[in-house]
Amino acid sequence: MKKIYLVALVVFAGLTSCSNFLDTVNKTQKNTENFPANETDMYAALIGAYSNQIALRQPETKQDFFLISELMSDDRLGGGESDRDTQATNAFMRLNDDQYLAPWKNYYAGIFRANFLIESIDNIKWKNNIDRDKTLGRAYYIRAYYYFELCRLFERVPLRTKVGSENLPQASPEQLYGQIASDLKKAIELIPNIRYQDMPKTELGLATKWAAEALMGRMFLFYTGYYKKNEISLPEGGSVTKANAIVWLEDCIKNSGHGLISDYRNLWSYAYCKYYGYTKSNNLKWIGETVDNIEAVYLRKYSALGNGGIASSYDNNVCLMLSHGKQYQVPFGYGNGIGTVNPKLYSDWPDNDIRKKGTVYYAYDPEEIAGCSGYKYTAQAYQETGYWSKKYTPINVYKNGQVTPTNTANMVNMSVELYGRLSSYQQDNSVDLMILRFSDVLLMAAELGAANAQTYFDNVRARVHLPSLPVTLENLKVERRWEFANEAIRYWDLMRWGDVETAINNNMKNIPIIQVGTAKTLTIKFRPETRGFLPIPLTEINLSNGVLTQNPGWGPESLFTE
Amino acid sequence: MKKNDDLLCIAQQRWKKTIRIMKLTVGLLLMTMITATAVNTYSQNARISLNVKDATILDIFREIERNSEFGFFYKSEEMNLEKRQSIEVSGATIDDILKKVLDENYTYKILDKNIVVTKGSLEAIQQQTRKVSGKVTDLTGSTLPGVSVVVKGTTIGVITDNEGKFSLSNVPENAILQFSFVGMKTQEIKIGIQTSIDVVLAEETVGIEEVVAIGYGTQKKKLVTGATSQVSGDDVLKMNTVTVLGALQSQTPGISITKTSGQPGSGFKVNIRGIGTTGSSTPLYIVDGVVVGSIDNLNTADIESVDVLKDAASAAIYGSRAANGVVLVTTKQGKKGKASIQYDGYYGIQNSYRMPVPLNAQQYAMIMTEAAQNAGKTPFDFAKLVPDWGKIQSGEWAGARWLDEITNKNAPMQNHSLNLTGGTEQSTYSLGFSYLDQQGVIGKPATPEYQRYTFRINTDYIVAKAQDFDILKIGESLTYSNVTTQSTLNVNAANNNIRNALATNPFLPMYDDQGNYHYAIDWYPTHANPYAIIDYQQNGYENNTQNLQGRAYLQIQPIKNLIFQTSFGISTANSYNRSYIPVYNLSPEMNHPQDAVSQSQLSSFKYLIDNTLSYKKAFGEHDFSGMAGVSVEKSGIGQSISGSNQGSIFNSFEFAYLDNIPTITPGATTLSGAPLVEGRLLSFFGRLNYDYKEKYMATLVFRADGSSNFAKSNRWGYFPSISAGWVASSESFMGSTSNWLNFLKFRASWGQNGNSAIPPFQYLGTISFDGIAAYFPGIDKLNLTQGAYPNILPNPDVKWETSEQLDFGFDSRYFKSKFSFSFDWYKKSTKDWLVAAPILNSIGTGAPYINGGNVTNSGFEVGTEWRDKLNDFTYGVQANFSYNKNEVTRIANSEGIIHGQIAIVGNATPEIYRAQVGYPIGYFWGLKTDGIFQNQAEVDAYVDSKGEKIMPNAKPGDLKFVNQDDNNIIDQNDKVMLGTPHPKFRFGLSFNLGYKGFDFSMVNNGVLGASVFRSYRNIGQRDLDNYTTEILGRWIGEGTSNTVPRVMLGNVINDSYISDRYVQKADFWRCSNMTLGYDFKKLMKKSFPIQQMRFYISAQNLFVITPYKGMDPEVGQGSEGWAGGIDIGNYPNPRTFMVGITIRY
Repeated sequence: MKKIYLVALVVFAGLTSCSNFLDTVNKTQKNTENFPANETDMYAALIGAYSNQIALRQPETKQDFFLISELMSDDRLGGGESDRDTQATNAFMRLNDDQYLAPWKNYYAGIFRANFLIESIDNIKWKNNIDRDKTLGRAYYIRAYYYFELCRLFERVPLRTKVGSENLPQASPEQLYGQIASDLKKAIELIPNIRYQDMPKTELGLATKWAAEALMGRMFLFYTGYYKKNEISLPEGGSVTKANAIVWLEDCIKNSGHGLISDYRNLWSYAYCKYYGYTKSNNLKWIGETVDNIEAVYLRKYSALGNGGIASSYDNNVCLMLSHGKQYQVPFGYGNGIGTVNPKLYSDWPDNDIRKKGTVYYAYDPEEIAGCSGYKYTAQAYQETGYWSKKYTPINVYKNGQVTPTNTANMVNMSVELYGRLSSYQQDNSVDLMILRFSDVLLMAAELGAANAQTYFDNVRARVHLPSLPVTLENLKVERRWEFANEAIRYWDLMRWGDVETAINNNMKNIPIIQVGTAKTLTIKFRPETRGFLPIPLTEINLSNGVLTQNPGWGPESLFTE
Repeated sequence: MKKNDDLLCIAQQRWKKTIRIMKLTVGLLLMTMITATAVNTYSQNARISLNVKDATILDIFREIERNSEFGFFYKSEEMNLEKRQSIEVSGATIDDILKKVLDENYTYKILDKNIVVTKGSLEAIQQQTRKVSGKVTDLTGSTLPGVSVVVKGTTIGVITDNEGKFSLSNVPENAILQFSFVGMKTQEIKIGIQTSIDVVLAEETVGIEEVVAIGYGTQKKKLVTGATSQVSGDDVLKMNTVTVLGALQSQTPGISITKTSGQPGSGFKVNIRGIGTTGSSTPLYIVDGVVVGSIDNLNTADIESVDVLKDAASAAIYGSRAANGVVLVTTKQGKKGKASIQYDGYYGIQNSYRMPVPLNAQQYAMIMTEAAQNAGKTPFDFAKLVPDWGKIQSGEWAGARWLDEITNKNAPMQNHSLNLTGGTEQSTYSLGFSYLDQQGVIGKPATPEYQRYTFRINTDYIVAKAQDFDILKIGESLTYSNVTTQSTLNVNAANNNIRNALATNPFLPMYDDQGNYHYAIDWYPTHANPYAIIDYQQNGYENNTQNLQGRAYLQIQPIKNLIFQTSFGISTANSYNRSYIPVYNLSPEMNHPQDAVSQSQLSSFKYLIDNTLSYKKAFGEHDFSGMAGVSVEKSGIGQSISGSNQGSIFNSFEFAYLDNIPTITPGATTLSGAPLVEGRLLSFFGRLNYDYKEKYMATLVFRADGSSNFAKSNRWGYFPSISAGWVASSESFMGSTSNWLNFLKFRASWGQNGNSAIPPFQYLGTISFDGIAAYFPGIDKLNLTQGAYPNILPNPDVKWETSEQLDFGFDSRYFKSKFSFSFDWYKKSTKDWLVAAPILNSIGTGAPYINGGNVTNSGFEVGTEWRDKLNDFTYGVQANFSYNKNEVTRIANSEGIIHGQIAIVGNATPEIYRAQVGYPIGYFWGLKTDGIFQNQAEVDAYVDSKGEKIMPNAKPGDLKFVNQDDNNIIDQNDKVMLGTPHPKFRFGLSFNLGYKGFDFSMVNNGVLGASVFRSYRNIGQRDLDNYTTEILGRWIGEGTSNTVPRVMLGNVINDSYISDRYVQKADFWRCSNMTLGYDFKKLMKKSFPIQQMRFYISAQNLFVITPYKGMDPEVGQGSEGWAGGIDIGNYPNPRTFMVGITIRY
């Protein structure tokens, strides 16, 4: 019987020695119980929130806010090959029920991350309040930034300011813009007052006080313009008035250290390519992407680390999409040929404005062709016009300076030369997108009626060697069309001025195009029933079980069937 | 009194019947062959000391047996028990002792360790000469060597020779001959005046004494109350499949085994009694008591048996992870006796068949021209866009045949396995070694290949022994495998070499003028040379995995029937990977500017400690047995590490090691190292079995499991089960039917099982530092700043998934057990299934696993068999049939739907399958079509009830989509169920015939009621993808086609709307194996020292009868675990012809 006791003992030992056996530790992931633990973690959380600006990868890139803004404007056509999604966007239609799910999902991911940071800002011990406030201010800025883009795309969206999973209904524009204004106001107050030139170079691309002020201006103009309001009521009480907006914009103009660079064309990367006749003959020199570009108030940053897979969003896919279609050239490189430029933009534009040829090129213009291997209409391309934007497009140089206009193998992206990239047209575009430029700050202040409105307006025109004009809204509208062409600004300007329907219908009538090698014309009509906004993704409406409602004008009739 | 007539043996092993029979036959054989030249080494050398007082002869025999290895044979009534004597010897030989003990009335014969004692002289018995001879076979006609043939009531006997023949002299008139053999039913035949008799032995009334594995033990099959299936190792081996699961495919009702791909080394999708969850639905695999992730690394020759526990009550003993059923694999165990060696080997040739034919260049040009024309586009200028257009136009060149180019004709396959078993009373062993090499039929020039070596050793050793039970027993089983694979990309639509070959245009030539791979042509630069892609991307590749799994156990039986067993099991895997991709440039999108090298390595370990205590006791005719145990498992011990870099100083695969790349480049160099996902499981379990007269049975099982995957408060899951059985045929009132109904058992069971298979730490909000959280502030374009974010919303409430199952069934046998029939009905309800249900995107982060819904599987299974013999001709038919209905009954989100992934069959395609309440999991979702508009009148006549035209823009030749909601719009509200990937019915049917050494078998399996979603082109994305010749039957005018619409460039809704155009019936009947063999032993001399030498020819996958128009109707592949039946150009199962040999010594 002794043996039985022995056995029982062994079994018992087996049962009891394991009380903590089931506790495991996650060795590769932190969790919300131990993150953020310190300032390094906080910085990582901030970067996590900012990273959503560039998170869209192919094929979602075609739903990037920048690209959509361009395609909806009267400046561009859908283009591409069988890229019916971009053609649908251009025609104010939808290709399928979830065409715009990607930006919806991505901006809310950014908002979630910002909410998480804001909620946990005091979970750690900060060495000083300056760093805390700067981090918090930047989190408010990026949340406002994402909401502003969401509101412009979808108008009425659920307002989430806390981490959580409630099924929220759509908020009203008043609530939404109130929250955005409140966040931006906090950002302006919290982010330190440091001149652009004096800020740590490693922080270039994170929000500054000046960026917050400029974004506040853009947002104020859009909200009060589109919704015909005078001010924005803040959720915490009080409001943001036109006077407030002017004060902030003028603060930015006077104290930020930002300014205009001398040659408008040096802002754009084609000015880098010394093999480009236009660059040579105008003696251009690209301003580059260091703090020398004092005109960039807020940037969407890209790297030269694009490498497929997850890293495919590290490079500028907007450039890749908006390039001229599938042909290698110096200076303009290979890409998807989306967003062909409306010839009307070119023909309306006075020739004396250097910004005209500084922004758009006509592929059969003898001046443009000089030194190039030559553009040709592509067999599979849709909605080709021969006009392409120069601003954000792949820029090629000759490998090791070997000028061989017929050998495409020698044509490499400028980042191969600049950063030692391997040549791969899909991964090489590294230029940043300038979201807010200083000239915009000047023109916004002028439009709001700042005391120095005329000076601001004249400064912008003088930089491109144009004479002074009275600072009227009409003149400002024209000026903005030329100054910001192909910069994802035009459409929202038209929306807030109430000009969108007339502009689209007038400027996009009988556009001559080449479609799969055949000459045709294209007419785009604005659909006023949409009020200029996009449909809420159907998946999201379904997941909300009907708590979300579809925007007007996006019923079955909006299906793109061309 | 009858007992006294029997020849008795007082060997110690009385408890084990089989051994006794063996000894008996050996003794008899030797006795009757007086002239045999036995080498009595033991008897000459053994020295015995004996000290007994006042003992009978039997007492003395027992004492000798206890002190030596001798065993006595005698007729008990002949022994004089009256006579008592004392004897004291020391160091005497057996001869000396026997001379002292036995008087002149007795004769004895020493045959090594066996001593036969008779009264009178041996010769006297043998004098009544009458000779009987004959042959013994089994039901299948195979001869049975080693059968003992005894004249009942005498010591006269013989065993059959290698041909099953016997010849017995000295048979008295009217004697009864007894034929007995291990595993066979003993037969008694009265001999009249016959001198020749042939006997057929039936297997021990099928199953009655058969033992099946039930988890932590075995049970007599007769007493099993749950629903289990057993497949023997021989049945597995005879299918000549690469993996065990492949062989089970047609042999087990109620188990869905679907190959995910025909590629060598690819796995199976296994569902037992329907898919019960959108999460992991694979069963639990246990090999010799060790939980393993897969059984694909086992060689089929190493299998003793496979038991599948289907109902909850049977599986409940593995409660925690048994929600999807349990597959118990027992590898070959050692057997006492002379070493037996078996070699099996085959060589086969494989070929793909039922392949689609892509259009040749002329057909393609014609279709493209027509497509452009229908779209109102200017005709293509082929001469400008296509190289060598003249040759195509003239018909001189039919264009590239990409599918043929990547097809590997006559792909070889071979397998060799060697098995050795043997043992003594104290220890037994079994060893196995195998080598397998299989090439793939598609994937040149980087031909897929699967190479596997396995080595296995199982031993058992009895350390201490009492009178009639083992006190201490130890043993171990170990299986090692070494697998090297090369595979071709066949994952999804974007990474699929077969799909590439089907879709790439035939205008693109293979080589250019310099003999290099041709660069993409102006016609369509998106199509890159698919053969070259394989060459560049996959030829430099090496993958090796070594597995070692096994366990050691110690069994202590301090008192009879109280058994304590402790076992320690391990499973370890080590694998490495290496690849090299050279610089290449095939198209603008398919190029690689710098060569790339990657290396990775993974090492994993898992251990499992089981302690069980079992006890058995009978109270009268009430038998009780119970078992209680505790199990501890720790998995995910180990780590993985990998790195890749670009710009090697060598440029070949041979030198593709990271050391050969001196520089670290951001963006190009990657490094990763991580621990494996740790998992722990602690379990307590118990089982109580009861039976009364083996007529009424009941089993209770309870298991409690704690899993580290859940928060503390939800860790424990409790899984009870109860089952009962009744052997009706043992009732006296069934006596009248016993002449035709040999056995009838009713079973009923209920139980609950669990599932915890989710990623760990779902109960916390984990923080991800992954690549998509990186951003680039600063001015350094080559500097990455890593960000972080919570990647799931924590769900502290996540808990066990429970599967509850009710089962009723019966087993029966008829007509002398020639016919058997069994039936099971079941209803399996999965509750709180674990699923990462989609949440609102506006929540902003990943969905945690939740307990997301319920699903019900119900159905029935039928298994029948007929076996009989007509003279030398034996035959058998086996059929099984099962029906399953799968239905989602609840989904825990407000929508009641779990959406399938998008972009499965093209970049822009919406979801094509989903899980929804009221439908089967993963059903295909899309528009129904109602033929093709033949003319404009039909378009105009297609109106809703208000008279509005439904498809006003349609043209003749377009598909007519069915409008389900009576409005004038075709949209998602018109989408309905188009089919389900889960078959309603599955069947297996096999035949076997035997005639004088010839054997023939044919095994078939198939399904009914399943659909497959097929698309070999990139829907809505690439107009210029090639078609298969099916398109030649397109609509080209009124009445030409009502199924294939007109072709048109520009991604028309005919193509881009997901409709039943893509969903096809995938019922099939497959002849999975047909074999003809002959045993050449029949032609050899009896004395030739080989038991079997069988040659065979065999065909696998000989034919498939199916309405399916794609390659292979058996499509296991899906984009995620709960999806299936999506054919995007999946690797088809090859047809194989093989020759093989089995030699048994």
